[in-house]
Amino acid sequence: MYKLPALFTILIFFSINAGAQNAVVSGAVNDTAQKKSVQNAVVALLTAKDSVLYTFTRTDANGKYLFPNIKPGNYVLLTTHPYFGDVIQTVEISSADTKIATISLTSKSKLLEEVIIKSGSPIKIKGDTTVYTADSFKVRAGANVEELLKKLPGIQVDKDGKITAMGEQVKKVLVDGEEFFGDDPGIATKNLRADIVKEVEVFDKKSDQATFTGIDDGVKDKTINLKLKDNAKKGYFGKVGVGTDFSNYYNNSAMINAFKGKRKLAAYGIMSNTGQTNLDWQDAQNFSGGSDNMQMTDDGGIMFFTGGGEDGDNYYQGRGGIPKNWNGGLHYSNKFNNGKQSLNTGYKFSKVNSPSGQTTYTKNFIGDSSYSTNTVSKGFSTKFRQSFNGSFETNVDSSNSLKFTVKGTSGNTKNSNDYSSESLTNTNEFINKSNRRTSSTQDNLGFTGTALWKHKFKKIARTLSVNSSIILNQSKSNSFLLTLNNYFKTGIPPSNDTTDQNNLRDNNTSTFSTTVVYTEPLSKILFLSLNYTANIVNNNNDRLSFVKDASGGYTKRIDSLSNEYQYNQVTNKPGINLRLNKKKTNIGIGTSLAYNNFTQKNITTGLNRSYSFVNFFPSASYTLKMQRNQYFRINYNGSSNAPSLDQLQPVTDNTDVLNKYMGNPDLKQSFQHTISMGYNFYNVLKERNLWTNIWSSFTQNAFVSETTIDLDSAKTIYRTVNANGVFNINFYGQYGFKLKKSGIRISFGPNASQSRNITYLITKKAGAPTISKASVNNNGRYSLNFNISKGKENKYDLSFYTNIGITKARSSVNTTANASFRTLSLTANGEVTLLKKYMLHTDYKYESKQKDPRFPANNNFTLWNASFSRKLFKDLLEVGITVNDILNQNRGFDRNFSDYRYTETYYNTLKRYWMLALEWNFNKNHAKPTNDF
Amino acid sequence: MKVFILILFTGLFNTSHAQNFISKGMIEYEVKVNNHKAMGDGTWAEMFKERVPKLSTSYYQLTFDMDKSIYLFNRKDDKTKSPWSNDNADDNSWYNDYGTDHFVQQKAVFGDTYLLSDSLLKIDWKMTNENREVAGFNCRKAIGKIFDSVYVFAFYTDEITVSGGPMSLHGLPGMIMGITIPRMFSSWVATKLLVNGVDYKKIAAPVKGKKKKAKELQETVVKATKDWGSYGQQAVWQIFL
Repeated sequence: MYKLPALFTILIFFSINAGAQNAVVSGAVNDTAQKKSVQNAVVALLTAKDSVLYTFTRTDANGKYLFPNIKPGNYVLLTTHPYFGDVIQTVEISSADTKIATISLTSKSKLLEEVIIKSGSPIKIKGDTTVYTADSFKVRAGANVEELLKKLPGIQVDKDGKITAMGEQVKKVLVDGEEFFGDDPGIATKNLRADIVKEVEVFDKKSDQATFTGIDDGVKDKTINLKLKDNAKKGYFGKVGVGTDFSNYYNNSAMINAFKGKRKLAAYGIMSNTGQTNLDWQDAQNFSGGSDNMQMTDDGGIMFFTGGGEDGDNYYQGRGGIPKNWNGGLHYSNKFNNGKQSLNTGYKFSKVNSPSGQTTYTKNFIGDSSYSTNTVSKGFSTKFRQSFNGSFETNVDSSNSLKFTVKGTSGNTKNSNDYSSESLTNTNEFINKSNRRTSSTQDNLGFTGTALWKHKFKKIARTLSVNSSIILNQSKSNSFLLTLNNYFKTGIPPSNDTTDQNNLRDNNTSTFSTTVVYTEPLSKILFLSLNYTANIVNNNNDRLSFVKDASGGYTKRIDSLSNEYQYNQVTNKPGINLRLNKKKTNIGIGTSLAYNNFTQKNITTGLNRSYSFVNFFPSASYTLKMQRNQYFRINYNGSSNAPSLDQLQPVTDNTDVLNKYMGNPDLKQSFQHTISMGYNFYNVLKERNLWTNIWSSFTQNAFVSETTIDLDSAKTIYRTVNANGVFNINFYGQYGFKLKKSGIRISFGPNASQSRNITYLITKKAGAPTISKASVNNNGRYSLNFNISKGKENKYDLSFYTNIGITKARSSVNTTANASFRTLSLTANGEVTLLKKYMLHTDYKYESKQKDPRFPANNNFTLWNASFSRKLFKDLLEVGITVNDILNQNRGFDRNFSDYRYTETYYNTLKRYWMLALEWNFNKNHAKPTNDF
Repeated sequence: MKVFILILFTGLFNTSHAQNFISKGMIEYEVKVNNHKAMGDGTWAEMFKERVPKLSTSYYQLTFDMDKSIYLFNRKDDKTKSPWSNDNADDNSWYNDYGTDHFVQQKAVFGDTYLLSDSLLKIDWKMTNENREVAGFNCRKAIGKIFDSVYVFAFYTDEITVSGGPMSLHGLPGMIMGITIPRMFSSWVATKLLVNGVDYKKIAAPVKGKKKKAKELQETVVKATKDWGSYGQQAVWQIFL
């Protein structure tokens, strides 16, 4: 239409004539009827080749005009005036001065044409809209829309493609109510095929489909809307990936998304034993329902939610050994009544089989003595989970909407584990030895239903919403435990005990909750929100333990380990929030009061306890936006946590006889203060940034562990108790910039955290008094990182990261429990595209933790991965070879020292493997092209 | 609107057409941005589309007097506010001197305020024979190209003798009353013109901000945003138009 060649011609044209002398062009304009001169008429010179405006002027009071300096050439002379018809003529300007003959203008006269539309079945008239059913008008195969329009009565298309409907020129052609490639009618009519058009609508009034120009300003423009057939918007896309090393490892997946109009049908399946246990984020958006976790706030902001119910889908955190997994899902969604109703449904299943192997070394520091415990475990677990979710949303009218969601899950887990452990004194004498075998099956059922009603009032930002939900969860487990413990004590003969029992557990939880939120704009910048929540939680836990009897059955109930307990909570929580939104500052302040009534019913003993709390949930936030993209914010939040049923129920969990857990019905709820602060800036032009962040929390009545240790047998009993003085503070800073000449990006920054944890220690020893002590542990981690990267799009990407750190732990119980060690990690990533089709990727990571003399292993290792791939058939097929952990050094390793203990854990992990992978992407799409020139 | 229709009618019955032309006044433009198109396609965008209004509307005013003009933000339609609307840009101002081919602009550029000056954009306008009425004025369509590849569909009227338009767009034999720039998903349509009661003292070059040649800053911004894909391109167009 108007592309570069035209511009070149102008340039060439002008350069040829560069030597020639410019001319003075003059003339006059008058009125045909009155033979009077016309003032202020526009006289414009357009280059003849492409009608680009070269220059223009207006006529003076005598109707005269003059161009003082015109390059010789061919021009179109366009004369316009609001009250006269346009005059267009071609002129050739030579280097000599040119006088153009007087231009006579003719007054505009308008003739209104009446067009009567014959009515017939293929044509409907709906108010001011005329609708033609496209299939009723026969056109040749492959014809474009222009040919179709020519067939429609009342519509004419001239040889230049100009469309006239009912006698008026059509200014706009829309496709499904939207502009198609800008507003030039010809683009749509010439480029779309007639057979994809369902209806042709002709109207000349502003409507819902009003698009950009013209229509909305009250001007009546003749407009044609082409409604496409629904199947014209159908298509599919997907991918199939196959990866194997032809012996042990595989990673296969297939996904497809077929859409038709608003209807979307998608399915996926994955089978892998290299750790791909779910869709990645991108694929989840395309092939499952996506995450519908976004909400608009009243002032136009966006809120995102993360998590929520999906955690059960991904079992593999690198700790469970090497899993085999099978995943699949189906998704269906559709919209009805022009999007007023939408339905979204999905089904998912996953099965993960994982063998595991783990070794744990623990040092316990008690008073001035210490002992160590080493545990080796081996096991196998299989988890199957399926879920269904559905949502239906309907916009009743423009101010009311209703949304219903349901979600159902069911799961089954089977576990079997063998443990062997030994506890040794600091002089390496045995305290105990234990062999333990557990097996369990667990069945879970869950249901969640919600209903949300939203009402918008006429006043902007005045809204009312009511959200009600029901959550039901049931979990049943049946487990068997067989333990053989041997105890050794100097001076007396070894003793042993055996536990052989069957544990049944039945847990039911139901939650009913309703929240009402009302927002009111007090002014343009000040918003008030009132909310009220009513919440009822009923929790029932039934635990039964049976010991093996003489006949080999588990029938004899162990009363000390069996208990039926109920824990109910009723909460009423009114709240108020005020928000001030100004251009540079945002201030929020609010509070809510929670009236909690708790009831604990020990059905076994008949002992009931009821108590009430009033909790105060204050919150405050302040954000300041400054010049140069600088932001400062500070937040405070106060919140309380109620103890869980497991923490309360006064019964012992003896799954591990040497390490029992006992409930504590006297637990109070904890209250946590959270303060966070941050300052960021980003200078786009200089490409410099600074992020800093401090966040901290202080907990009153924190839930901490109380440990009672029998030093003679190394038997331990844990309880959860309340403590004050628990806190943690974290600091993060990062400064980054780009070197101008080389384009290398550099960033560095510190990271520090300091925390305090409290554990109560009670030690017992025959013949010695019981000692009770609080172990206060202060832990600090300080590190610095330094990163360099450089990349060029579609060519290469290189990056290098380093992190050095030091970790310090101090315990109040025993200085020998203190620890201090250095860590170092070096990472290098590289990706190079060769010859546009080949891609080489490698990443290298070296991890080092200073060895602790108290533990056996050396913990330095290098993990090096590489892959090489090639794209084929217009990038539809990708073939690649991947080698994971080339040096076969990967290590599953963890170090922990949060209380009086100091633990190192080593676990099985994926090591070296190679894989040949093929990925085929396919798609077929009739969808409209994107709006671009 | 009634005001200028009256002016036109008095003009029609005047034997000489000399007085009917407008050389000073204030035009209000309704500026619409199609948020949905700006988001593109894809499941993620579809999710946003349900929650973000399709069109965001704001109003800008161009005050012009002979060969000088100033273009300023006036107000926003809060009902159609998009979460991406850039409030910093509300302080932007465009001062154009069509006589000396020069502009001065106060612009918010990634959090900084700049005072940009340069010669006016050179736009090659391709003239067409299409006409459309905008705000009661008969307008001719012309197609221009800015930033090398961005098409501008403009409707200008020769009844206003000032060769101006919204922002720094200009160069047609009359006033630009309507513009569509499909690649910026935006349109500017004049909805009213006032001749009387206009504060012409507004027409003055802005003075606030870091002084910089527009072309120099444009080069820097293009460089800084070249890895941002289409978002970077949009940013450049929005800043320098």
